Amino acid sequence: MQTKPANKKKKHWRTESKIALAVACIPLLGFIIFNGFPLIISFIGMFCNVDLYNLTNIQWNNFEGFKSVFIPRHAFDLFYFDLSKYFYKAIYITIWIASTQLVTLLIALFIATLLREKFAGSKIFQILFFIPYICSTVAVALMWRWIFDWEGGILNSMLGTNIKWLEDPKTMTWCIIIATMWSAPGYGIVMYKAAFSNINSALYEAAAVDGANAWHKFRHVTLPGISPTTFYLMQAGVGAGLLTYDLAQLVIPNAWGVPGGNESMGLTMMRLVYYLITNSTTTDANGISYMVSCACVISWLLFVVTGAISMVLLHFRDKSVQ
Amino acid sequence: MKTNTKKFPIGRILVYIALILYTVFLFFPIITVLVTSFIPTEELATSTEFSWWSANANLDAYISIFTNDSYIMTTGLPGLVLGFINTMWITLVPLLMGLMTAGFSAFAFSKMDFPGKEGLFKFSIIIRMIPLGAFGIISYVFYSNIGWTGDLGFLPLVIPGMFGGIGTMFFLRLFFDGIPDSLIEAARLDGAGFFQVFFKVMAPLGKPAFISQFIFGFVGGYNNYLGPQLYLQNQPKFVTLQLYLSQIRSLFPNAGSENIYSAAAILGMLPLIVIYCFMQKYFIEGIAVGGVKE
Repeated sequence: MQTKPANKKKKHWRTESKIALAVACIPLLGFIIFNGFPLIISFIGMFCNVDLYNLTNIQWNNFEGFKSVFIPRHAFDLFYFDLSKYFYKAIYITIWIASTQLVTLLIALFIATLLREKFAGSKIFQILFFIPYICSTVAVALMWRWIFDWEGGILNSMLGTNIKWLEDPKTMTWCIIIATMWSAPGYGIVMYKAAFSNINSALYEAAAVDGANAWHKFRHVTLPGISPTTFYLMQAGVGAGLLTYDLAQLVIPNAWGVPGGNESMGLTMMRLVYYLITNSTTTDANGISYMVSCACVISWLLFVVTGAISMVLLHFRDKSVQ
Repeated sequence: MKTNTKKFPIGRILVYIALILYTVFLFFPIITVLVTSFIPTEELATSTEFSWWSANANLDAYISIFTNDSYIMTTGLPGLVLGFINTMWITLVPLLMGLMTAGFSAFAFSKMDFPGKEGLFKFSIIIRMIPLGAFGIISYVFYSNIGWTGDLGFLPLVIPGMFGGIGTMFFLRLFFDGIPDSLIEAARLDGAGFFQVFFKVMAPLGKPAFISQFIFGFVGGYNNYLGPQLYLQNQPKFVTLQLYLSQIRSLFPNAGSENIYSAAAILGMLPLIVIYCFMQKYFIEGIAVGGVKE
């Protein structure tokens, strides 16, 4: 890295290279303490029963955490909570929610394309379209819960229907997805707008000379030009989708002790982890440790999946930059 | 765009229609909660239809939030006000401190020479690529074991950020690389040390980069819900704005309180939207650039 200026300065800075070394390490130090230790503890927690308040109390649990998560009925016999049932449901719901991030991406691309050229009002549209992205998920959830409200909500009033959108297992998940789609595209729109301006305009002129129409230009110049942004947004979006917690939990709260509401149709993987961690303080001592162990297993599973997906997408992104 | 000057007006009209439809999709929900926040409770409790207007429309819902919630009894302040104050310090303390430490680190990596620099840099690159979001909740096991829960529950939200994120460091470093070495040499010849050079040269010249990182961090901190819910839920004195909003249904459980929920949603969104309207250029740039952190 920058050997030239470094060599030149070496003599003058020598007394201060110690300061430089010390301050350079601060963010790394923070990472090691606040990410490294949780990583290690949760790794141990997959194979051992870890006490929430006394770390010296660690006991090998003979893979009970893994068995409870993956083997049906195993958890119920162990600590009276049918975990694997919820786990498989959460996989299904989480993948469903994460996959709709691709629709969000398409919306963002479509809107950004419409906003590409400057015209009367284009600036105002662009400013307006970003607002949902900065609205807090809690306020957004309050808003959508009122829209989907069974009695007095605007959706039922407008459609003349009488559907319990937030309680009917058939519609619950869609409520989360629509709330997400309302708030998420703003980011993609901004990113795509920036990506458009980085495409070399000579490419369009060359395409025009070759007699390309608007679709050809989009297909052969625009799409390749923005593909690094597309892969980045895909990685960020699918990653965020797999780790959905806020909106799912706020739009569809746990109901009568059932995580994820009616038939757990709002249950995501992160919500299940949260449920295991927080409800572990109320059950008996053995149950506590097993539930924490299961939460560690699910967290690591999510980590491996999100890590693998982002590695693949980053690989494609790096390839598409060339 | 020279290539597209010959647009049919019909195409332009279709573009407008599509954009207006999208605007309606985005702002219709906000307008419905705004309307509901003015409707009296008695009408909401009895009606089964959404009503667009009421002859008795009033500001009672907003007044209730500031005068009628149980936080006034336990903490002496309305939950919304206390939540706003707590959100501010829980967001700003780690954010400002973290920007400074990340700035120091970026300065060292960009402009200084020190033993182990290349090794540390490579280590940081590898670390930055690991997506750690999946550990957001399970970290609770670590923090509860070191006693950072209950009365100390604000520590997991404040302390880690003070060390400055590695992503922020990379972003600032890239910006610092563009600052000419000659400026630093000149300051150093005047006898300035590491920290003086940082505050006199790097910080002022790096202002755009710091602003974009500040906005990115501020929006994230202001809207953070999971962290406060995990660590501060049973601590009324540490309630944050988002935590308060998430409790609004249990704070006002009576029938017809939808006007209060709506008013709370509006009050929760409003501060950031107002700031955004005045500084939208910084917001869009800050969030677009801050998100990539390349």
